[in-house]
Amino acid sequence: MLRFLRQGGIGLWIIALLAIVAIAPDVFATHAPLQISPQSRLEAPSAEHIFGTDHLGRDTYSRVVHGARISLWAGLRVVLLASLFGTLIGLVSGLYGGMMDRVLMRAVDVFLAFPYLILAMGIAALLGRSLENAIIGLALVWWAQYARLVRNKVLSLREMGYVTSARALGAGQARMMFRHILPNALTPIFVKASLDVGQAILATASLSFIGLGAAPPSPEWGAMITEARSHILDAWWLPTFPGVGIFLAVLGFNMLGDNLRDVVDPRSRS
Amino acid sequence: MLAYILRRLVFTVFIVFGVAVVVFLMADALPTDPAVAALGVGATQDMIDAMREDLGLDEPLPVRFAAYLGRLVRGDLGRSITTDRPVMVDLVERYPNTIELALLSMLFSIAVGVPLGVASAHRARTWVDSLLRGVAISAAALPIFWVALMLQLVFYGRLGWLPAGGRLSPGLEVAAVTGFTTLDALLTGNWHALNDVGRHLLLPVISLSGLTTATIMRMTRSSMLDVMREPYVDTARSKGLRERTILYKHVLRTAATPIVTVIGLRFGHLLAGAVITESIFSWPGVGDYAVKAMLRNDYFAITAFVMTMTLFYALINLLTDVSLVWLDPTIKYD
Repeated sequence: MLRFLRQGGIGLWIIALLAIVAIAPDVFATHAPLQISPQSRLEAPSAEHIFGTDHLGRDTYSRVVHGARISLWAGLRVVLLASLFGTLIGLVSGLYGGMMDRVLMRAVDVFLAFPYLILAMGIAALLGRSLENAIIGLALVWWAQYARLVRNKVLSLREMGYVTSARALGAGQARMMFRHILPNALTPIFVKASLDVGQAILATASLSFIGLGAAPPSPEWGAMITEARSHILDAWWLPTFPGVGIFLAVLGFNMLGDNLRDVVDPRSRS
Repeated sequence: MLAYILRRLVFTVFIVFGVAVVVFLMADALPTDPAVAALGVGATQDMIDAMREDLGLDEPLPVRFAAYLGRLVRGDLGRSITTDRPVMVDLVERYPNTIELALLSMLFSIAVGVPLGVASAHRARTWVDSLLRGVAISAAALPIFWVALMLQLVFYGRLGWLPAGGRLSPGLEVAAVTGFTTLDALLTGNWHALNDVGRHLLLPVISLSGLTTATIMRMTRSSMLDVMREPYVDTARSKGLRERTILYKHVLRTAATPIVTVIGLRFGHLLAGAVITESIFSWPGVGDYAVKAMLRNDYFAITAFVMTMTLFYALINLLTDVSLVWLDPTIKYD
C-alpha cells in the first residue's frame, strides 16, 4: 500500500487535490453552483467571479468545483461496475475452463468488437438521457476488457506451483478463487483500473457533451462545455475552465496508472 | 497464410453475427418503444397498437430476431424519424463523409506521428524526447470536443482564418463521383472546391487526430528503441550507412508491427471521435447524423448506426490483422 502511494508520483498529488475538492466542494466554492443571477450574465473573470459567469449569471468557478465531484464519482462508478463484473466473469471463466470458458470468452470477443464508445452511446441513447444511464451504458461495454485480462491472468496462475499444491491439499473451487488466485490477479486489475478512471471521466464527459449523459443545469464538466457552445464567441472562459478540469483529472489518473504499470512491469516502460 | 486469412474471415462473420444479436437485444430490452418512436408525439393507443402489429413487435423473441436478421440481410434498416427516409439511404449518403474524415485523420496521424516518434527514439533521453513525450501525455488527457471547440474559437472566432463548420462554403458544388468530396474535387479538376473543402477539413482533422498522433508517436518511439538495441543496427552503422537510411529502411520496417497494431486499434477510437468532431463542426457524416438521431430518440437510426459502425470497425480489424501477417509471416495465432 505504501509503495503504491510512493510510486504514484505527480499523478497521485493531482488526484489527491481533485479528491479533496470533490469531497468538500463547499469549502472551495465561492457561490452556489445553481444560483442564477440575471444581472451578471456572461461576465469575464474578475475578483468576484474567478472564472467568470455563464449565460444565466452562475459563477463558473463554483460550478467547476462542484463538477469535480460529479465527474470523478461518475468515472469511479463506471470502473467499479465494469471491473467488478468483468473480474467475476474472468475468474469463473479461467477457473472452470472448458465450455463455460469458451462461451464466456466468445461473448467477450463480441463485446470487444464494438468500437470505443459506440455501443455505450446506443445504450445510453435508448435508455434515456441521464448521467446514471451513461454510466450503465459505459459499464456494460467496459466489463469485457477486465474479463479477458483476468481470465488470461488466472490461466497463467493456475499452472503455478502453489496453486497445484493447494488443490492437492484439498482446496475447493471457491477457496481457490478467493484465497489463492484472486490476490495475485489483482495487480493488473489495479493498474488497468487506475488508467481507466481517467478514460471513464473522459467518456462520461463526452457522452454528456453530445447530450446523452448529465443534463443542464448539472455542473458536470461535459455538460458545462456543451452549454458553453452557443456563447463561445462572447465568453471564452465558459468552455475553457471545465476543460481544464477534465484535463487535470485525466492527466492525474493517466500518470498514476503509468507509474503503477512501471512498478508492476518495468519491461513495459516506454 | 491463406488458411489464416480464411480462419480470420470466419471469425469475423461469427463476430458480426454476435454483434447483431447484441444490438438486437439492446434495442429490444431498452424502454424505447419503436412504435412510439416511429409515430412521434400525439400518437393514440390505437395507432400505437396498429404500428406494433405492423412492425411485428408482439411476436415471440425468436420470431422477432429472425425478422430482424431478415431485414438486415436485405438492407432494410428501418425508417428514420428525423429525416423521414429509409435509414439505409441516409447512411449511404453520409458514410463517405465520415470515412473521408477518419481516413484523412489517420493519414495525418501517421504522417506526423511516425516521424516524430522516429526523431524521439533517435534522440532518446534528450530534451527533444522529453518535450515530445510530455506533449504526448498531455494530448492523451485532452477531450476531443474541448480541443475542437478551442480550435474553433481561435481559428474561426478570433482569427477568422477558417470556417466554423460544414463541408463546403455556400454556393459551391462538387460533382459526386466517388462520394469523397476531396477526391471528387481532385478528379473533376475543381481546384476552388478542393481548396474550400480542405479549409473545412483542417480543424476537424486536427482535432480528431490529436490523440491518435500522440499514441502512434509513443508506440513508434518505444518500438524503435526496442529494435535499435539489436546488433544488426550497429553492423549497419559500422558499414557506413547513413543514419537516416538505417532508421527508415531497416529499423522502422522491423518496428512496424506494433505500430500497425496500434493503428488498427486507434481506428475504433477515431470512429467514436468522429461522432463528436462531426457534431461540433457540422461535418455531414454519420456521426453528425447519429448525434441528431440520439437526441430525437430515433430508434432505427440509432440501432443502424451502432450496427454499421461496428461492422466497419470489424472490417478494419480484419484488414489490420491480415496486413500484420503479411508484414511478419512468423506471427502465429491460435
